[in-house]
Amino acid sequence: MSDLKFAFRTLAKTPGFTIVAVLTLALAIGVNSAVFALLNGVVFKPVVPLRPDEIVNLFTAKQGASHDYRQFSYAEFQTLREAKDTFADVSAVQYSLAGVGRDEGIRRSFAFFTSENFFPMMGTTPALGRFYTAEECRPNANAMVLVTSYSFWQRMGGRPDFVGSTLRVNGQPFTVIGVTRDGFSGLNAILAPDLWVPLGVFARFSAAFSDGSGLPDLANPKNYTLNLVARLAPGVTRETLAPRLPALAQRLTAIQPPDSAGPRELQAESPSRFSISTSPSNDGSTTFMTVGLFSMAGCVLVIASINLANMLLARGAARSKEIALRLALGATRWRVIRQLLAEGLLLALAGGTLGLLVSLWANDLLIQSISGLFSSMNFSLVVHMQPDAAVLAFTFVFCLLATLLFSLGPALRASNVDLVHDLKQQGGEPTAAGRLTRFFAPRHCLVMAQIALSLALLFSAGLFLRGALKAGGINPGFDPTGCAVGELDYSLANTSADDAKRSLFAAIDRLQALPGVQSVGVGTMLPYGNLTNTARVMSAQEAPVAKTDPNAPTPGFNALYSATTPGYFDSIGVRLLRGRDFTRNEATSKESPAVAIVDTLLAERLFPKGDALGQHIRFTQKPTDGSSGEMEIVGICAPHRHDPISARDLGRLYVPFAHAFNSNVFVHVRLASRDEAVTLAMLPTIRTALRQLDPDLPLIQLSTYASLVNKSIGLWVVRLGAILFGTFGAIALVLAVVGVYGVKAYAVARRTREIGIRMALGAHPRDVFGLVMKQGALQTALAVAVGLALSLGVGRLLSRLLYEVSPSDPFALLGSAALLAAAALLACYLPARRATKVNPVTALRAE
Amino acid sequence: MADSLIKLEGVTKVFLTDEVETHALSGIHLDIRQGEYVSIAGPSGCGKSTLLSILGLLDSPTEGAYLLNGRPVQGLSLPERARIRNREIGFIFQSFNLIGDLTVFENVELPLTYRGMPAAERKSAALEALEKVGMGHRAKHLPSQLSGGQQQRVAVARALAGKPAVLLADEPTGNLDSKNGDSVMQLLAELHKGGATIVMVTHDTRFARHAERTVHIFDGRVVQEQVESARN
Ligand SMILES: Nc1ncnc2c1ncn2[C@@H]1O[C@H](COP(=O)(O)OP(=O)(O)OP(=O)(O)O)[C@@H](O)[C@H]1O
Ligand SMILES: [Mg+2]
Repeated sequence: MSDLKFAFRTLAKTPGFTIVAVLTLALAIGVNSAVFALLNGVVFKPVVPLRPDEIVNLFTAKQGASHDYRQFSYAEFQTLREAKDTFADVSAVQYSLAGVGRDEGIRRSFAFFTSENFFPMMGTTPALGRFYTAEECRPNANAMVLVTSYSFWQRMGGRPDFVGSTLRVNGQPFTVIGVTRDGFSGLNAILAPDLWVPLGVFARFSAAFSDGSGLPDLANPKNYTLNLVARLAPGVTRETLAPRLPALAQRLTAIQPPDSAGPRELQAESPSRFSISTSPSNDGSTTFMTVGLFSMAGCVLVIASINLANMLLARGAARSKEIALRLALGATRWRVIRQLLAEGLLLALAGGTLGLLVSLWANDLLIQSISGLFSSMNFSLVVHMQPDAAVLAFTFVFCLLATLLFSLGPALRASNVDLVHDLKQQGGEPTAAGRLTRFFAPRHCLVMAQIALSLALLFSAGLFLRGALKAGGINPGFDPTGCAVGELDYSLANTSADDAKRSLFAAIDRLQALPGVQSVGVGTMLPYGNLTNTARVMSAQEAPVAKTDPNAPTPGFNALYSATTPGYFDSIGVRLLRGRDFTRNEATSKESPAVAIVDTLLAERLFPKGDALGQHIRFTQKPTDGSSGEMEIVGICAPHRHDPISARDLGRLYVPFAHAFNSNVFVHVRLASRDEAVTLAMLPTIRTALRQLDPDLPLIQLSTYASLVNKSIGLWVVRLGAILFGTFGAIALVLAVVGVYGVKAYAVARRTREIGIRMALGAHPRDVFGLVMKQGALQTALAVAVGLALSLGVGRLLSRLLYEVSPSDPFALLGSAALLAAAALLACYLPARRATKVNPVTALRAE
Repeated sequence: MADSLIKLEGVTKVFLTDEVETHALSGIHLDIRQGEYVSIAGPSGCGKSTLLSILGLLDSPTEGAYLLNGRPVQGLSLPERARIRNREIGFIFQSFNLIGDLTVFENVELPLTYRGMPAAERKSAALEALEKVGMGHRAKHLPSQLSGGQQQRVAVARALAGKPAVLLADEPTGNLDSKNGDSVMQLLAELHKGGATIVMVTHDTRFARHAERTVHIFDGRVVQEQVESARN
């Protein structure tokens, strides 16, 4: 105990050292535990509460055409559910959007429809009330009940009488019967739907989603809308499952309706933690990102430890004389060691405590950023990113060990030295050391390693920053300035397709009449939005491929697919290069002749030799509404990007709005002014105009297009990368500067006497300055050279995550090297300046 | 009487620490001629080292004038003072003050490098100085590999190498046993015979007798000047 008290006094005597050491520790512990907490919540924590390894997603593809996936029908679901020897249970899930509330207060949420066995299969119980029954889940049972997520309940006030209350969803009253447990998100690691609804309501619920050409009735054998999740039967493993699947696929093939396309194939995959998809998807790049983050955090930890090591080594060396004196006065070596250990322990404790605060704060920042994004995507975030006790413990123990190790190192060395030698030594000057040995002294090597590592981190940050700048500055091909975008979703108000169309065109006319409005156009897909629709089309001259040959290449080309009204191209600022826009008649009437507009990209792919204008094309899959699916190309527009990240590899296909009605639309209002302030000021006018037209209009959001573009997920991801790596880079830079400064300042302090001697011998101030700077500059140059090589390696590792930046980008490389070298030299400069201020009389007097 | 090499007129040095004024020197008058060997004596704390620091331009007087070679040195810039230290003054310290990382040769060569002397000239000058003190054979050694007496000889060589106008020695034998002390004193005496101007602080009356003149200082003042007439 007296050791600790003494240690406290010693540390308090050198506040500068103590503060820097504690802050370094706090940064290392804090940042690491924040990153671990994020990864633990997102990547490592099992999603499924009960034996997650047994859970698989099932997918079916056409046999031989392994990428032609579709979902399952209810009959198929029942068939697989009976395969009890393979699957302990199979449950069905449907993903959907729903409008919760009414009128102005309407909010769009994700609603998952599931079979009643979904919850027990996941191994979860309700936090409140009950889950739904098998009866409620029978097709067309239409029991108007639902379960909400825990966070939804909390957002609604969290009152205990919430269960039993009525909730308006898509304009219909539902009774809340239960609430899921906090953190339960089904299969996804971070996204949870707000609502869980029995499968039996689906038909009723989704009636408004399309114009009636779809098949909402679950009992219909051709209604393939179910995603299946299964739990393996006892004794079945992932390995023994594979050989059983073909037999099950045969059973599926056996129950197909007579005119369906060929035999089926069945696949089982581990559920994706991050995406919700109707075909298998892998988490590869997320996992890679995770590894990247881990390595960055690890680097920061290493750099911080190096700093700490240096500081403690320097301190130990500076005190070697004091220690020798104490040993000479009769202290046992063990006492001296204990003393130094007590100091290390105290430092680690203080750093750990502060680190906890840093990590709480860092977690908060991350959560805010992520949940901000997800709420704009209508999901509730379920990640719980409290700093994990185990994680904190781990980082703390790591730092404790590092601290103890480095305080002990000098302790052992110091207490081991030849007493006479050390007592005789003047001013702690190493006697037998040559200049080369001094140049490569352990503390200098550590600092050089630190600079090299920091450079690699800074370089990675530079790569991401360049990516973010490029992504932000890229020309999307459309023109968001001077354009306002309103999103409407008629399905949320349970409006019929005909009513929705009438309402929409009335709105277009109304907005068109507003002063200052140049054009108004509607599209069903927003460039840079979070939704992507594609369709596959081919030239009508090409013969359709015979269904019987499963190995024939799939004909045609995939294209981004959107339905628009006249004026759409003017409104988003894309030029119609040739031909004409759709007419009002084509956009409003389904009976009008089928026409299409394509961009030059798709035009060139479909008709590489001739002119696409006036040609006929058709969907490769026959539409379900019985039409021929053949269209005449009447216009060709300029290509434009759909998202800021992925390369522009898909062409575009537009059809008149009435020919592919969707209840979810984006209304683009192009103003005469290109002033963003004017656009912003126009929003209330637009809102009022729409409300006057129809107070129940399901207007989900209204904002300037420029701000939507800024919020797009693609940009967010690139920016998050830049921010995360930038933060790590900045921390590394700061630590490196502190490290260099500490070592140089220490070296100058140690060499004070030598500097005094040199001054007495006639050294100019600039000689003394040069003495310190030259060594620092050489060491920096060597470290930067090593760091550059390291950076090139790191760049190659990161290349998968980079956006339009070469992994050896010269700007990032030179920029980070210059920044780091400048910082390191500045860190040398101050001690060098101090060296010139040494008073030779005092320096020589000092014993 | 030949011109004074060093002339102090009413030199006062006051140290201010924690509001306490220490009058280390109070109105020192001193004249030292070219080729003189002066010893400075006095009790501990009387201001001997302070006086030597001022003579060596390591420190400046609070008041009074210092003329070196007839030229006042007050108000010179730091680089100019460094230049004078380098060319006109050679220091010998009680604790040798060799730089541990440099070899004996490099230590001796060091003041010459600050002068921008070409390497070849430096080499011959340094070796010549080492030969003079009898340390030529140890040029490649590190100071830690030498005895105290040898280290002090090297320090003398370093002070000599630049052929300074005056050698300032602050208790050069203080860290040496009497045998080594004797030999260093012998060395200084030989240098004096060769024409060197030497100002040496020493407690040891035995060694003070080597000098032509002893200045006694008490409490920052010159109390007695004594000329050693009868020697040999
Ligand atoms: N930098 C300083 N700050 C404050 N006081 C000082 C300083 N240097 C010297 N002194 C004081 O000035 C006085 C003279 O000191 P100086 O070192 O010249 O004595 P000295 O004659 O060399 O003594 P010694 O024989 O013990 O070496 C002393 O009282 C000392 O405490
Ligand atoms: Mg003294």
